[in-house]
Amino acid sequence: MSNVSGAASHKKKNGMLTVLEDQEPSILQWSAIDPSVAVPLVKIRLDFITSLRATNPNSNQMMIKVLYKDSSGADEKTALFSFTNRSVMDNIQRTLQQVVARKKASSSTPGATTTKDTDAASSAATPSSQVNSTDKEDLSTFLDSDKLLKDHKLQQKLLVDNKTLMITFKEAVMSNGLDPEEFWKTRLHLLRSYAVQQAQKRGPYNVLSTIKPVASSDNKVNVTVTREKIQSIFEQYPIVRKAYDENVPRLNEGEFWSRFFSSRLFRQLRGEPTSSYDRADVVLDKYLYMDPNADEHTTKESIEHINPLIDVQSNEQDNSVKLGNAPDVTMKVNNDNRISGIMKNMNRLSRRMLANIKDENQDKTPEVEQLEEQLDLRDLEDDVELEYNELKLQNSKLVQNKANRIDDRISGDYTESIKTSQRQFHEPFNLTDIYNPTTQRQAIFDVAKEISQIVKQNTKQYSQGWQAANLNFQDSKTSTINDVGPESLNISTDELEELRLTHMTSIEFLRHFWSHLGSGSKDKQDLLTLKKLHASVSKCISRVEAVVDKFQDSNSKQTVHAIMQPLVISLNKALAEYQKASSAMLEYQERVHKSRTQTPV
Amino acid sequence: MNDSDDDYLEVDEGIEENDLSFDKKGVARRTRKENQKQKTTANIALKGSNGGYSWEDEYHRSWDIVQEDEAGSLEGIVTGIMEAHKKRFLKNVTPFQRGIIRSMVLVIDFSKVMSEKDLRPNRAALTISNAIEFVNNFFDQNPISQLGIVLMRNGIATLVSEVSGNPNNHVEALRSIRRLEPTGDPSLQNAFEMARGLLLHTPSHSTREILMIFGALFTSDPGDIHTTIDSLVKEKIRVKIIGLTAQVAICKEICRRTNYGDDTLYAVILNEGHFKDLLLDAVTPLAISKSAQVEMRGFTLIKAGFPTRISEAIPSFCACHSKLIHGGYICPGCKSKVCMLPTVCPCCNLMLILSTHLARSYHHLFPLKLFQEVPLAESYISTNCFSCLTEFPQGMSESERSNSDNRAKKEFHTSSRYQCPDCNKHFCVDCDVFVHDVLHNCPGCGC
Repeated sequence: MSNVSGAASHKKKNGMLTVLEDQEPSILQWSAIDPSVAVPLVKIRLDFITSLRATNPNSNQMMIKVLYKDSSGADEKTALFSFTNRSVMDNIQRTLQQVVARKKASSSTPGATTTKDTDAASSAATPSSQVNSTDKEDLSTFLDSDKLLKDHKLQQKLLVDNKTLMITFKEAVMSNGLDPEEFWKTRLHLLRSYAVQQAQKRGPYNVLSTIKPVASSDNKVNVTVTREKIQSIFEQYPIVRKAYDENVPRLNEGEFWSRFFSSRLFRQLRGEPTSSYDRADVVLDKYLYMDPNADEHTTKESIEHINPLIDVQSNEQDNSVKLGNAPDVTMKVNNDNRISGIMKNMNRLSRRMLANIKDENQDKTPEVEQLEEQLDLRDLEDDVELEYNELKLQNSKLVQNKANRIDDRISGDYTESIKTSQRQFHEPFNLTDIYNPTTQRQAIFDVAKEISQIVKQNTKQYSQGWQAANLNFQDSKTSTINDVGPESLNISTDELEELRLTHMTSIEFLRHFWSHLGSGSKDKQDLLTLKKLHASVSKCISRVEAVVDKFQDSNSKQTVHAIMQPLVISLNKALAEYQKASSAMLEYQERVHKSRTQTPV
Repeated sequence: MNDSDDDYLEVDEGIEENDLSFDKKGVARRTRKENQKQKTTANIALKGSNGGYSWEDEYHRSWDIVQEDEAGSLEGIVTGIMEAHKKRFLKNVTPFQRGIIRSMVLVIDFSKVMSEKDLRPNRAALTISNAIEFVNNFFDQNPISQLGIVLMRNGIATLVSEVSGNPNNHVEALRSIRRLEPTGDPSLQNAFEMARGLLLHTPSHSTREILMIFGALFTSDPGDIHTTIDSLVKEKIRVKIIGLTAQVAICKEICRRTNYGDDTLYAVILNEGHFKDLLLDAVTPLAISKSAQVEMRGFTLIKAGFPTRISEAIPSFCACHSKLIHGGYICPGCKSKVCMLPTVCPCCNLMLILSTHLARSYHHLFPLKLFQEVPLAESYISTNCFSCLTEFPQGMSESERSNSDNRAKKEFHTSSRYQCPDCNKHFCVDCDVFVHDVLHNCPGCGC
């Protein structure tokens, strides 16, 4: 790509005006055509240009005035160039405008135009395979219960995230000595789903296609890029890294990126067609024509060799007898290079994205099977007829017979029967026997009261059943609004919370107690834990009693007693079950002992 | 025409069956008898009311469909709608072994493509309202099952609600994501791995299923999805996918491999109504195939408790949520109080259900036989619907039939009677739909 240049006269001398961007520092240079004329070269550093002025496109005069500062930076100078050709002038004007705009954007508001993270970019620039070497946490680890139980870090994280769980954990494990492993054993599913959520990784995607330049109100084009995106750009497009490495110390960081996002290279990499009308960029355009495959040998993969026998696509394309090269756009002699270029580009990107994926466990299916699978031509196979397990109901015959026995009387004579029953309602009923005010008044009153009480209670229970459904698993704090409030029971909120905590802890112990009792294990260690849990359950009863005893007022004491009643019943049930089991155990041991002592005889 | 693309079906009349023929491009193509037949039926399903494909159809506004006939009555239209509704029940009623205790993870695509407006108001909004409907239907018909919801968004899977048996939880959670903006790419692998993790602790007697609503045509995965498919197959997790855009090869493969070679569980919606139908299909438990049966060793007995209901004047704490509740149910095993059924006892892990829950799941195993329409005749044995006692129209005699004035009458076209094949009772179309949709028991056979 050549520099932008054009014929222009300066101080009435004909000459060439050139924008030299591939130099450091880049300059705008004017030199006289006739070397004999003793006019000095005009050199203006591009980053010193402050503004441009040009004549109206419709006017006859074609001039550009460049305002720039001296290297001393003191006073502003001007240089006037006049042109003879409108298009030449436009070209140079455009290039200079771009330069000025770029400079303004990067100096005045560096963050707004290109959100670039110098730190990120420089760390990205140092070639690192950081992404590839991150610890390979296989997802299968999370499926292993033992590993989850040992992962204390994960447990802590979950506790911090889940406040309700934290409260239970504090009460049961920290205050009342429940084994933490026990605690987590009953909550493995929570741990697991949390672990899976935490350990997810995003798949690669085409970064450049997600970057969308946005035009701002002041006619500037803004691009927002994050540190991760720059990382991924380097990874997916080594050519950009190459360009970055070769240019950045010279160009400033922001300028590099703003150049890049408006360059033809960017458009080409994104898969958009580039045309020669696009703005040229001296620095980046040379990478357009570089062999993008040059780096390929450094990455580990090369295109996997596909067995020609099963390579359907190649075989189809290679059918030289029938079609020749006709169907393949990329194989035509005078083919437009741009189209195939884009296609190659997209393919290369896909390959690179796949190569960056870590293959976690490669030895899944044996190679032979994989080959066989490849050989299958699924479309030619017959559809699989799946047979399902039919159920046969044995007494279905009985049902039928019974049904058949019923005659059609009801439906057939419907009009008749409805008429008979209607006729019955014409005769008045005698109800005097049922209500006798002197003898039955009290009884009737009592019954009515009882019924209305039951109805009231059931309505309450019913309506609340729906509410309870809605408030499950919400924070216990917020839910107090919805369930029965403490006001209606003459208990303060704090007191109720204390009761709730006692209740929660007791349920926690009960849960572990039952899971151990139900296991039926005769292992010594397990029996020991069970014994411990039994002691904890007994302690729970005394704790509940203590909480209830705190209430002095006999009325509220009664209420609290009722509140805790179901818990007390289930605690007692647990103790009774333990008694039963331990006496059965003793009996069993005795029997074993007896049979042992008897056998020698 | 590519055979692997089932969505676009076309029947070429000119092609002889069981013959190799060549199309314009000179590529050999195989056609088969049964394939042809299948395609023809599928084709009919694709055709709209005017005989063309649905995408050639004119757009019908809902108020255009309801039009009065000449006499100013809506009856004909309403009956037509009911008849159409009835068609939905024309499904296979052979009793199959099915897993009626189910654990399912519903995966919803919430990537950028879901903000497309090809479904109204947009894909995401319609999907969520359909999902809410699905959750309600699912628990109505499978009360002893469990469900969890996962979203695919921004390249990862996010948990919306944990696997649980409480429909309100899920509906609440779905409502809360209504305001969420669909962004990023979907990742099938992340979603499947999360669903796998969620389904891992389900007991052996329960089925493991994933139902996915997938709007995108691509997936951005961190690893090899085939290893994930392998583990899904190994763990006997069955996957059903509903596509919203077009068929995707990997989805088809996932469904095929996780369903013992049956790829009919992958379907792409034709229109909004079809979307609902496909979701409704997922409410019915999956049948167990013979090949899967071989792998199962015998049957397991499941311990379940039928709790007693109590009512209290003063509320007390429930064991499941530590909330103050009036009354509740007492676990027969450990005597603790729970507030909702069905559930698993929070103390002793016993499954607590009501017998009605079992009954509601049971009808999937023995679906009620379809009622047959009674053929047109001059007179019928029944005058009223057996169930609701509505009067049936009389039969039409030969002379009345020949009168062209009677052509518009309903009894000219249909007998309006539907007969149960077991008890031979006659029912009206409303009762027929109600019996098959809600009751699942024939009133005639029952008495």
